[in-house]
Amino acid sequence: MSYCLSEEILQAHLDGELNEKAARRAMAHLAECSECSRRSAEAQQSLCEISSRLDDHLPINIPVERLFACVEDVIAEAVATPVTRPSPISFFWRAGLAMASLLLTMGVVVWLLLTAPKPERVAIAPPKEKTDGASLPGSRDPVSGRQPVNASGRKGGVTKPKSKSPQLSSSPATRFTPIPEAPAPAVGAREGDYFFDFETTRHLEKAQVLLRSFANASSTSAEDLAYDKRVSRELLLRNILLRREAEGSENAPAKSLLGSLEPLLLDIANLPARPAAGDLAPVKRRIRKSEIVVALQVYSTPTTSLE
Amino acid sequence: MTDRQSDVAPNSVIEEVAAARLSFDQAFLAHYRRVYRYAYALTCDRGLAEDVVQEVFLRLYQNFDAAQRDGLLRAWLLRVAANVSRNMLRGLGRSQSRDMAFVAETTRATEIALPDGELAREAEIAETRRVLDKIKEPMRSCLLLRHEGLSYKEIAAALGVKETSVGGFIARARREFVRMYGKIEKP
Repeated sequence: MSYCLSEEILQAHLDGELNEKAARRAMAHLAECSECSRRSAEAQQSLCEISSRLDDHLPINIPVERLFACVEDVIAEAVATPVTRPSPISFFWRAGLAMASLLLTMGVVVWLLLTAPKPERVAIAPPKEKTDGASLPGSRDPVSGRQPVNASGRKGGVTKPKSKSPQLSSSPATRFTPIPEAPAPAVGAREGDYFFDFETTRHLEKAQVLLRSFANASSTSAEDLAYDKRVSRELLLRNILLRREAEGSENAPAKSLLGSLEPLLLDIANLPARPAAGDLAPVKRRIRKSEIVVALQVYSTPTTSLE
Repeated sequence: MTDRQSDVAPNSVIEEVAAARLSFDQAFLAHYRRVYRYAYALTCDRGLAEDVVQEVFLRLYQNFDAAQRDGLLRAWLLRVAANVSRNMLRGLGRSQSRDMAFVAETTRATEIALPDGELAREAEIAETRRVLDKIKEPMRSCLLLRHEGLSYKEIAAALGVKETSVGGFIARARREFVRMYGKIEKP
């Protein structure tokens, strides 16, 4: 006598899901067990009834053609418009492109800033004295921002070298802004800053120093006068050359300034070796009256010393 | 039997089948009926059942090789159909209104003047639908899929249950069906 069949085994037997050995054993048990045989008959009957009910419930007529057409449409639509998922690769590509464009923009901006033509600012020598009242705004030492003090502490006048051979001043107090090596001709800068090239501004600075020291000297010794005359001769020759260049380049302000400077240099150069007391006064008066020192100061570049 | 007769696809459809998609179309013709009936049993809505069939065979088209990898294409299709039906009912909010839809359809059916035999048949169908709604998962699906001719192995694969448990689920669903059928439940 075997054990009665469980619900699972009985159902599997009715569904034909038992293997051959288990099915043979179940059939043997059903043959000898009336209770299990009755349960099996009831289950079989209920399954038939349920199957019949389900057949009635579930649809029989299925619109296969319409379904097939719909499926084809859905597939065609899906193929035509593939799902675009945001992949990390595309994200990194976008981020990289954005960064590259940003860096490129920054590089272009920096390059433009670096390569933009800078106006050639002529460093203006600060006034060393106020003898002629020519205190120009903006003529401070660009390094210290203060009025430069003369090395000798003497008001008005540039210290002349005692020896006849001029030397560079070694005192940092007398040194203004360093002269640029070889600046390009200033073009396109502010008016008043860019009419003169480097040589002209250097020449004007020397002339300014000469005229200022000559005009402010209270007592002129023979040594000093000889030095002034020699420098004036040198400056006169250069002045003539620069004026001709200014005429050739149609630089009217330079031509005008150099033209007004030339007679004064000529006067100083033609002074006698031992002038009388009345010989120097008219020249000094003309220098002060023409206020050329102010103009020279504006257009000149600072230098360390006279050659 | 009418079911088996309708399994044969019309000639026009067969002619439309392209050679490149022959295997897919063969799969469609072999299984669309089961998928549709199972989806209808779960959703009680013909329109939804058609939508489920479209979605299921679209996924089959997209994963054709993977679906046939284990030789259980029918189980794969019915599992997808169960998932899609569940998602559709959840997304459309119709799971709550299934009873109301059932009542409305029953009322509409009974309003039409039908012969006595037809009325009795409609009532039996409505009662079957009501009882199926009351049977819990996975017993209901086991009963339905077994009725559709799936083996225990396929049912287990489709529903994600153990193969040894399928017989018990079917037996319990059968008992529940017999117990509830024809009985008016207390509110």
